[in-house]
Amino acid sequence: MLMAVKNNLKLIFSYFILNIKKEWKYKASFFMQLIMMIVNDLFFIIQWVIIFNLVDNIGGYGFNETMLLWGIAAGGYGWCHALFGGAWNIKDIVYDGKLDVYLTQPKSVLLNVCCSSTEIAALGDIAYSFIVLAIIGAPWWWYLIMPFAGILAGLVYVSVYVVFTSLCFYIKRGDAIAKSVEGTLNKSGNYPPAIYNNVVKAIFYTVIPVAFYTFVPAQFMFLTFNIWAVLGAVGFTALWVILAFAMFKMGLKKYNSGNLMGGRL
Amino acid sequence: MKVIEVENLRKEFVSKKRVTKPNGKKSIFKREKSIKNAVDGISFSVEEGEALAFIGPNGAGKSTTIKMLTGILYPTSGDVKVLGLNPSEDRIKLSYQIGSVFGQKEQLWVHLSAYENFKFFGSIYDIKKDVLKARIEELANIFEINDFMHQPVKSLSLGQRMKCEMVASLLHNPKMLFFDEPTIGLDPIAKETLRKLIKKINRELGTTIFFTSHDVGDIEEVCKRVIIINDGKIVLDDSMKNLKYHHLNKKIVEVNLKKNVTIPKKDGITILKAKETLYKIEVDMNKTSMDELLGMFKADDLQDITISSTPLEDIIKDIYRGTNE
Repeated sequence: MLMAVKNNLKLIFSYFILNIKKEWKYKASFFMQLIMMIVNDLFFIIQWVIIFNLVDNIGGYGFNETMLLWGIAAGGYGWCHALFGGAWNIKDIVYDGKLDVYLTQPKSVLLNVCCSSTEIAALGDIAYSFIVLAIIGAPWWWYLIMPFAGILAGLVYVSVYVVFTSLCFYIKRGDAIAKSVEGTLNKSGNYPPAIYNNVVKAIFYTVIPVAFYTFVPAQFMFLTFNIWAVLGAVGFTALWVILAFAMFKMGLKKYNSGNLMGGRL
Repeated sequence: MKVIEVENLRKEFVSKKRVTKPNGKKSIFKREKSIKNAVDGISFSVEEGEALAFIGPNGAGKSTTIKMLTGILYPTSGDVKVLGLNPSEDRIKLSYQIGSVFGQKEQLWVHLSAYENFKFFGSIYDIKKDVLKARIEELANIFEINDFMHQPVKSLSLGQRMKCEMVASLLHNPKMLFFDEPTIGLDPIAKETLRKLIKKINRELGTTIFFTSHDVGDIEEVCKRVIIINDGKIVLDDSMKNLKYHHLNKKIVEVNLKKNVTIPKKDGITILKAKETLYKIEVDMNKTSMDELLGMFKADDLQDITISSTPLEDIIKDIYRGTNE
């Protein structure tokens, strides 16, 4: 078991290095993507500066707390697109019947597919999650927690996406549902939780786990540290990861290989 | 020892199309199911160290069979055992022991060098660094890729790329190799080189070879046994030697005579072409003998004579068409 975990971590690392090497061949594009993503993220700060000039707080969240949510969201998005960017290719891979190469290799097909691509701009998001901490003058230990919070949020994000995009095995355009859910995660996780009513909160703590993407990590890892809540978040994330693997594995039984010619870029 | 055991293997592909109403319009909601048996109850086995050609026309079920043997597709029914494992249930275990080369699908990343790709495959197959290094060195020498394995894959010729694909599939020292049209698109020299290498892997390393190709030259040179599949069913399973012996019962005789002669009608002798003193005659050796044909000519009248066998390609075409007995 431990050996399998070690080998899979090694695989994730090898893929990441390989993907970076691949992108590094085009250095100008590499840096442009990275810097433009940071600039893009920084623009959102202006919006919140204006809002918090008009109101003191939103549901108890001030500028710093809201920025922390943005930092975790950016980190989560960044980590999952950097390490598991291939998840967003599942739709094309399944529709075009291109899973064959992954299926002939002795690794989890889902992990193999997810790791096969890295979005370079996502590295900008990871960098932004730390820039935010600098902007709000966060204590030093927040910098240590941020990667953990980011990876946890990233695992929630990618697992949710995989669960819904696995519908592609059964229905045409199954990815449209995954895109909608992803949109909800993206748009709702950056705002103070108090603005949502109880029904929405119930959804956010269950089927579309926005809460575990940003709210819970922000509240219980940074603002009021609570080890039990953190362990609960880890457990909940693990459940979504297991669900993602189960959904994908079930879908594989429906997979129809294709005979399109093609290579790996 | 049997390394592949297949019993009554079937694979159905279901497609749905809209039902046409009596008024000629297509229904929006009603769908009609149509089932295509890509592989229709085939059974065969393969011995360790064999080199088997699995051939058939397009859409015959070759690739679908290979995909079920390698764990890519789940069979609809039937039993499959490859190296004692069920490919759909034990896919990961099996992947450590088999390799596959798909001529139409590359597994190498084209922006990276073949060497970088090999190093990556080392982590996919959990190969230790020093073992991997030695293995790359060994295979690079066998496949003669030392000169170009550090170049980006995208800059290699198709032949060089296929050599690298084969090295990548051999890094983990598989007991079996599946080749799905590996020589597709290659020039004759590159094809010849690859065939020799595949033969070498089979004979020197003892690796079992499961080979599909449309190129009869590949099959003739590499394989000792052939299975022909058509419409999802096995239509022939025999050794290459037997295939040639039983199906090469017809000979083509081309004779050039000094003068015109009348060739008497005889069962088993068919005149395919007669132009002045030049005759092209097909002789069915099951019905008549070469002596009988040659006895029809006076030795003094003969200027030139050529006897040849029906090309293997024509025999296979005949079997595909179902016209061969």
